[in-house]
Amino acid sequence: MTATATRRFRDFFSLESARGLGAACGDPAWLGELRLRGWRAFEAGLEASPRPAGTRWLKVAESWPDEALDPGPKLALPAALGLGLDGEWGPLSGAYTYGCESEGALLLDEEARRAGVLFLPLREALRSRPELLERHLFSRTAPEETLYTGLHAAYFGQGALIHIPKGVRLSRPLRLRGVHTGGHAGFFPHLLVLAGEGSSATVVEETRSAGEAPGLVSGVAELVLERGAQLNYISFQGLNQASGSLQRQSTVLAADARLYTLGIVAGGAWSTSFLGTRLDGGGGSADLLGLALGSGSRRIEIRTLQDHVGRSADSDALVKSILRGSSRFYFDGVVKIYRSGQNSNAFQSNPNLLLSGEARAESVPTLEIEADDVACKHAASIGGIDEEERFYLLSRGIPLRDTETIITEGFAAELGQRLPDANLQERFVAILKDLATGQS
Amino acid sequence: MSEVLLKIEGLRVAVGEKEILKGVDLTVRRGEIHALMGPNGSGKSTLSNAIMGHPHYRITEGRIWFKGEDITEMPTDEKARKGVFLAFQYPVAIPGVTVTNFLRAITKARRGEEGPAKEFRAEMAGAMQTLAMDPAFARRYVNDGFSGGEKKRCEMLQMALLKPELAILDETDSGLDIDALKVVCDGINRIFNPQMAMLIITHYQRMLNYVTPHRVHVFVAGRVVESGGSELVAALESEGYDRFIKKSLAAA
Ligand SMILES: Nc1ncnc2c1ncn2[C@@H]1O[C@H](COP(=O)(O)OP(=O)(O)OP(=O)(O)O)[C@@H](O)[C@H]1O
Ligand SMILES: [Mg+2]
Repeated sequence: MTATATRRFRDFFSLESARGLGAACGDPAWLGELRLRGWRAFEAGLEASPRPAGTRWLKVAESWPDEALDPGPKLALPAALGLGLDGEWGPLSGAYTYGCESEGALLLDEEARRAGVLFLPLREALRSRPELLERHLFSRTAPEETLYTGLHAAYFGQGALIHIPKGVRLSRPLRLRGVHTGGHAGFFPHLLVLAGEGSSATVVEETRSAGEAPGLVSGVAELVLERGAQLNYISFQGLNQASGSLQRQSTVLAADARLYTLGIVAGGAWSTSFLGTRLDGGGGSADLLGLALGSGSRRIEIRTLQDHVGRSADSDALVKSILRGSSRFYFDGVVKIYRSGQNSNAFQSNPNLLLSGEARAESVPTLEIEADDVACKHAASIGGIDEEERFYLLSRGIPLRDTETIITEGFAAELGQRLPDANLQERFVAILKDLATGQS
Repeated sequence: MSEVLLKIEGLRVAVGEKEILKGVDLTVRRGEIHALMGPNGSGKSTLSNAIMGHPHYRITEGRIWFKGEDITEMPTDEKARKGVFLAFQYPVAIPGVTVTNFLRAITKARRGEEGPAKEFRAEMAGAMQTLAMDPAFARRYVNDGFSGGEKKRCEMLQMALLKPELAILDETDSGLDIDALKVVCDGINRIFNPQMAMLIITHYQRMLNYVTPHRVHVFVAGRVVESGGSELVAALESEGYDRFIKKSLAAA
């Protein structure tokens, strides 16, 4: 670390530089206003003491503004993270790879283009589809929600707009890959997905680091599902060991919409993610899946919110952790069923697998039920490899060293199996197994 | 006489501070089917778990030999690879691990090599057919959400693929309906061959009507109290364990 390059995190940001970014993005007036709101929220957050209602590991994040760090030189996008309509997630319909300060490149196949699918870098979308952005941007996540959504609102500009027109069913995933390329500490990807009535699509969003320099990623994903739409949204956080990550994902479902979301946390020094789902219309369903992979001294927090506004909707949160080293995981799951949410089913489950004596997990479920005719269930478990399961494998001749691998793989594979179609299941089960045992 | 496959001498086993097996002697030869019958809680499952090396069951005295080798302290996985198999009374679920993947892993471990995937699939499909199992089972997680009878079939499926030399069947008949019992017993008869031996633990004559034992042992309060031919099964069925319990009390 060179002494000259070391600055405090907060020194990277100022109202002037946020405005400069806005000018570069060609901000219309409403957006300039929004950035200003964000900046004010960030400043207020910095001054507030004690910090605004946060949760356990978020406190780690709250200390970040005072962190001294060296974001290193600006790197090129590594070739391995390059563009192509294929990769570990299988054949793709679209791919977009961008660095934290570069526009990047985007591919979209003929099928998607002909169907009228919009897959645009956010800056381009600001120019070409301002009406969609004005209507939906920050509609699910307000700049004032946390210190970091404030900073995000002041500095966002990277990311994408995805619009799946009414009735369009995309068979292959769209993949976004945002890469922190150093040179600057902050990275603020914003994804807006508008899934039109009866449409169906899979979106995979990766967040990665180009090198070893520390970065702070404050990402926001806003997912808007119209009547009968189905969206599978997978987020993968694979930052380097020096970085921190704050992800806010907010989804709203109209009637009969279906959401499958899988959040994988596999990197960073610390990470806090919020997976919020609001079932507005009746009859929809949301599966909130999460996997926290802890190793070393990583701190991970996952929070889920299952907000049942409409009636007869189902939501099911399954968040797992696999913890090694002295890693920590904190799960905070809230189920809220409003009076209007009669006849809903809301489940929540949080199994934690501790593979080291020093790893710790904590699970805090909260149920707020105003309706009377609902089914709610929550379960949590924290423990190591089950001795009876291990004995069963040993009794079949599986060597001791392989028993942990098989049980851990199975533990992670269950999440992939919960995805909707056979193709996705097969692909994700394989990926999750590799991740669970640290093979990728 | 054929080779001794399993020999147990003076086996004493404790769970925690409680002694459950109080000196078990048993000899099983290649090509033989033995039945072990005894009241609830007499220690039959304890014996099978102790043979397999379950960590909760502490062997305090005695020895277990398999094909002339002392396996009393041999690690469980090594015994299994050598050809000892236990069909559990209460098989546990392995969530997230499909039957197919599991069978592939255990056959690889037992055989020391992974054969061609195509051959394996054919072999698995054949074994499932023998046991009248729906092919859909192959995609389910091992024992996860299986009914009692399905779990027992899954145990037999594993036995069919592992081809053990010594198979201990702990109440494989419990949980099976009448038709399933016949299917499973037919399967057992097909798997059995003169190169192996079976120790069948059961409470009922009905299983032994299909799978005929060469020897029958009555097990009471942690010991074998009487051994004989299949006529013992009929005696037990009509008289119950009373006489044997008295005998065991007298011996203690
Ligand atoms: N892991 C254990 N912890 C505590 N007690 C045990 C354990 N395993 C067995 N026991 C006790 O040992 C005794 C023998 O149990 P075991 O399961 O071997 O009986 P069993 O003959 O197989 O009975 P059943 O016919 O009901 O299956 C019982 O009193 C049982 O409660
Ligand atoms: Mg028993």
